[in-house]
Amino acid sequence: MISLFKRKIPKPDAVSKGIRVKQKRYEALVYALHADLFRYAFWLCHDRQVAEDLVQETFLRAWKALDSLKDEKAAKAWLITILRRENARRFERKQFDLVDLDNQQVPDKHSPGPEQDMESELLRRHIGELAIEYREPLLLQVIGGFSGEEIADILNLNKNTVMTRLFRARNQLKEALDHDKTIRGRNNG
Amino acid sequence: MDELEFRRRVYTDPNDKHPDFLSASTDHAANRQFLNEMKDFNHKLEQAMNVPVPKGFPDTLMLRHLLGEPKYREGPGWRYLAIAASVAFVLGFATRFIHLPAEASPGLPSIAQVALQHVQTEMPFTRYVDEQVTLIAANAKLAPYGARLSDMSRVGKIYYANHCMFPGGTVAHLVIAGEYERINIFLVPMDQPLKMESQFAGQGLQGEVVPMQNYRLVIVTDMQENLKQVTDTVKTSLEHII
Repeated sequence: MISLFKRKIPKPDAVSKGIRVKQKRYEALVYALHADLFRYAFWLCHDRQVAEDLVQETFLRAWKALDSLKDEKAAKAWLITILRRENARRFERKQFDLVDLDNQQVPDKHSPGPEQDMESELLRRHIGELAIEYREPLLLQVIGGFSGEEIADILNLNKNTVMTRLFRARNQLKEALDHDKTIRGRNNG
Repeated sequence: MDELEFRRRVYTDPNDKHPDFLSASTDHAANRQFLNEMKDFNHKLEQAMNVPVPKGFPDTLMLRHLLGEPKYREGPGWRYLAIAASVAFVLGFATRFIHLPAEASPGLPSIAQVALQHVQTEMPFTRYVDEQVTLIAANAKLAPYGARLSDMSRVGKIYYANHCMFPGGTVAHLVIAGEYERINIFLVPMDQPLKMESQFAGQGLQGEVVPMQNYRLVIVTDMQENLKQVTDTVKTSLEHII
């Protein structure tokens, strides 16, 4: 009986070595991609705390399924897919996590400050106001650096739809920003 | 590529690397200017989206990961546990068969033996303990056996009142003052499978078993004690309830 148990003893070494390799791989992913994932999560939910939780949950699931990730280059798209699923799950669980943008703090348009910051702040507000179907492809393109095909893959849409949405997203943002500028111009004039 | 199409593609992706797009962007000054404008806009967009990441976030992620990770390296610990559990199981199972015939053969244990042994074992404790048992406390212990004391005047001081374990179940155990040594009183329920004797003695102790209505009264005293008198006193002090 003892020998039966002993025979397996060399194996844990191999396992723990495998674990160590996995651990290294995981660590690399965390350090390389946490920022992009956090930003993506933040723009999905507009809440830093929720975004943190989402990223954490994402990495947790990623660890469990790390062996299914064959190509390191696909890691970002893979993680974003997990994150989107986690985010969707959040809405299944409870609706009240949803933050209404109207309740969010709105930057004070009249306080003085560097022009650049103000524009950034305005832009942030407009990004937040974009409909999610326009916001997501834009986030994937700008934060994720994904091509039209890749975005289509991640979002499960066809490429033309993605391209149209990207166009509309930028168009809406540009218009909104120009609109702000004309109002501000009038106020100042 | 006409101007409208070019503008559409600029909006879609200002960093488009398609040759058609690139050549269209250099063909016309207006296109070039528009593309630069939109690249600038895209840069602003990037900056706006670049919300600050929480400080030390990757470390936090790693830490939580490591804390949440089960320890794989603990190795063969569970194996020993498994062996120990198996051995314990086999032993437990085996003793069932060893025990059964032993229990079946000699018949019921004698109440005298049980009571004497119990008194003997607890002697070091019951000889000195004084819980200053009140009538209420004593009666609370006696109640489940269908008995109560009307008053304590005849019984005298009660040092100890509790439930004790006999082979067949719980019994009430009282320790009261005696002339020479403390006196042990047991109230043994009728349904306990014990062999009855009316009188017994041994190990410097003597005892008597008196059948009552709901239980058997067992009194164990020192050899020098007047057992008859003690029994009478206790018997008359006990009332039946129910």
